[in-house]
Amino acid sequence: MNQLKKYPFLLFPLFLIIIYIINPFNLFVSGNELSFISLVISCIIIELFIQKAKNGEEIYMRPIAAMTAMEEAVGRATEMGSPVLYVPGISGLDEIDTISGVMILGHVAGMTAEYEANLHVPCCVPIVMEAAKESCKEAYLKKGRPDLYNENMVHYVTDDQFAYAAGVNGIMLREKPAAVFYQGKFYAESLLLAETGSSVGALQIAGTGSSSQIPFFVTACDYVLIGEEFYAASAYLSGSPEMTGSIKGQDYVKLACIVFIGFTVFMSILNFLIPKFFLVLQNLYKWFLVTDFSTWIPFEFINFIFRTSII
Amino acid sequence: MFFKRQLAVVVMIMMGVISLSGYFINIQELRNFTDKDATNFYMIIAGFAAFLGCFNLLQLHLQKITYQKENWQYSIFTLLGFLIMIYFGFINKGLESDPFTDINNNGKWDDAEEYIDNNLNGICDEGESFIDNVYYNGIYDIGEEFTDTINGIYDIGEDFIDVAQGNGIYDIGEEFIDALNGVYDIDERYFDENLNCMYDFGEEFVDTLNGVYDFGEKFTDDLVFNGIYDIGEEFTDALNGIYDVGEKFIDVPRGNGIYDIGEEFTDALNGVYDEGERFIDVPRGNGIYDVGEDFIDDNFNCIYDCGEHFTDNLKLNGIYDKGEVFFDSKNGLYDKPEKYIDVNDNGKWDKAEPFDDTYGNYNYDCGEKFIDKNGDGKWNQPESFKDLPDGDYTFVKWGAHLKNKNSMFYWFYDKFYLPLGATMFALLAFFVASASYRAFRIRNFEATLLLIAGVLLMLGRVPLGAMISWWLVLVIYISILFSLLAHKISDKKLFFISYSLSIIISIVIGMMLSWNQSTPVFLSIPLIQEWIMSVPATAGSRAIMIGIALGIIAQSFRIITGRERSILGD
Repeated sequence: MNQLKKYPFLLFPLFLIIIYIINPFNLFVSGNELSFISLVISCIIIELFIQKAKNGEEIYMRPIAAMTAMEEAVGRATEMGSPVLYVPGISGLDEIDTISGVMILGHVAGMTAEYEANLHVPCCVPIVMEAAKESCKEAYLKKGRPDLYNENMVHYVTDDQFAYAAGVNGIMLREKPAAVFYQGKFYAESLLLAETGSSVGALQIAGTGSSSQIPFFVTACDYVLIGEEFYAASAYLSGSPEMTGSIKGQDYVKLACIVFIGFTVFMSILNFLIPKFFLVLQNLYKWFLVTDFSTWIPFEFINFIFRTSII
Repeated sequence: MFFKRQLAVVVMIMMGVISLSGYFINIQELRNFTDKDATNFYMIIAGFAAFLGCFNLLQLHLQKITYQKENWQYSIFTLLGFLIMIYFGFINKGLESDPFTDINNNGKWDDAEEYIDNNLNGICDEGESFIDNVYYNGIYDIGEEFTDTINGIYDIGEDFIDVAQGNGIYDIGEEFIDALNGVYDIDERYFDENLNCMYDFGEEFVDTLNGVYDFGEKFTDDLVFNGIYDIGEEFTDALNGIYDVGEKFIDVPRGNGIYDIGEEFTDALNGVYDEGERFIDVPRGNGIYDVGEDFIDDNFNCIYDCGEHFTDNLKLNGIYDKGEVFFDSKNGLYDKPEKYIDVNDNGKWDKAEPFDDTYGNYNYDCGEKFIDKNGDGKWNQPESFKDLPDGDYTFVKWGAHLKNKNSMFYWFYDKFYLPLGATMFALLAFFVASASYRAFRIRNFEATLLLIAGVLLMLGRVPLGAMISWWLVLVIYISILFSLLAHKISDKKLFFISYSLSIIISIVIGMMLSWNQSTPVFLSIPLIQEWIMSVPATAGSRAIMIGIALGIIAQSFRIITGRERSILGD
């Protein structure tokens, strides 16, 4: 109750869930209840921790090697007098990975502005190029070094996947960058890029949400932002309490997932060891399925738990 | 600043909320917006942004060349490629020749198709093979390459045992020998050259109970007792797995070599088609009324009004047939909103400008209302054009040469772009090898584990893996175990003896347990490989995927609530 008094906004999602359950005038899509409730709960938790962080609660962020290495990489490039190459992936802005990549670019551009290192951003999609240009320009402006910003530092290469890989590989081989960042959505070109970067001796930091490309980056790069680390990078680098609070919230949602998975595993083991006990539960579940309660939306959750852990 | 900051944030939040609502709120318009319109908006914006990309490319490389910056020579190559493709894409179509009538719209002059006149009737009949050097029309024409399969249904020409009716023709149910018969059969795969996504003869179809007799359906032979179905005889309408007349399909030009009603022809002055008169074989069978087809003239204006609906109740063939009822717009003239047949595919109606035929003589008379399209204040006749056999003005579509295999643009695509792309992709194989080498180098416990898993996977996925016997796998296990323990056993003699003894004892135990007859799962490399892929690898990738999903939720939440604005440069 105290939490509710302190954070009255928590009542709004509750209200949303109730409306969804009642579903007046068939307003909501049926079948998406589970997604909706999970999404709302996740958002409540994230928002709660954002508010806590805003209210001054201290939030500990464990150091992530790849993020701390970003500044190190830019510093290395400055010392060596070589440019920093930033590859924002090959997808458009309709991919959250690309958006995250452009966000991280803003922070990296801030570092290059601070260290007076050269930044080179070859883009595969014109619309990403425009967003990246804007991001870099603002970063240089914010650091008080608009004079260092050069329109040509962010440029277009080509829309084609392998032509782009060839173009970026060519840039790497000619310019020998000291630091290479791969942050965005990558497909088969990931290894082509990372191996070339490795061959020119660059310090490489990768981050992507493409789970199939993570192993390639892990083998060929020095640091990799794996999974949610990549999405949290921008928030982490910004250092603002709001952002860090959201990361903590995200971690709590993950904890809830782990607990749920653990519960499911535990129930499955029990089901294996004491099948008789679970026969009762199974019959209960069957009864539940034929009653009108099964159409009542919150039971979607119970149904889900039964299906995953008992039946 | 307002447009760059506040407005951008408002648009970002608004679009985020709308997109999310489209998934949960049951309003069709909203769903349409999020699923189609919003995506289309993005595509349009991205399309325009492509120009920005091209200008940026030009600007960058021109600057490099002008100021001879470092590595400026590469820019010459880039610009050269850019200009060549601009030239062949926009200016030169690579199709220069004498003017000709491009009947099949393939962008080149085609000679008459050759055919083998099997029945010596002087025309190409269905089934007769010919060289398709005219149409290249993307649909299967008899004689074109095809994959002849044993399809499990009786095909004409296959041997059969005539047991059911003894009538000398194949009846359903009679045994047959399903063979590669050398001709195209329904259900066999074909090569759709024009990727037209339409049903062409032989393409997949929906087999329905259509209420009419289909070839192959059972029937009661009670009228003529001739062993074959006659109209009026009862039949059992069945899903027989082959295309039957009347079943729904998307009809396309048949090019069948004989005159079909509706096909245009060169009139030998009697006003009707006479045998022997030349005609252009372009039956459209396109599901809409084609000029020349019979119809009921409800409004007695002697012309079929385009776009009028008809009830396809006679032949169920998807096209208007004589006698079928249709609904007349009753306006006596072609109206823009009415559907029309875009004969030359130019996206507009080409005849005379529409006018109000007050006198009902189908000609424009002074004083009749008309739509002045070109704004010159007077009614204009249709523009004169060289009357092609189809009677309409035809022109080659702008940009059609980009898909034409004979154009220079396509040649560059085929001979430069594709091989270069394939080369880059092929490089991946070598990079995978070098990356694997780096990953498998034994540096720590994880790398060792990776090496072992990698070796087992590689072996398990090749036939050699299945040939490795259980005792060898056992030796490998023991060797791995002892390699891990090696640094703890300083006495080499002891190490060697214990290693050898372990192997011997294990093999003896294995033989006593008859492992050579029923090998345990952990000693079969293909099974180990399967287990690695389905258990630890899946568990690991799912863990990452759950993390990614949560990351996306948190990131999206920050963006939708307007907290994350660094994408806008804030």
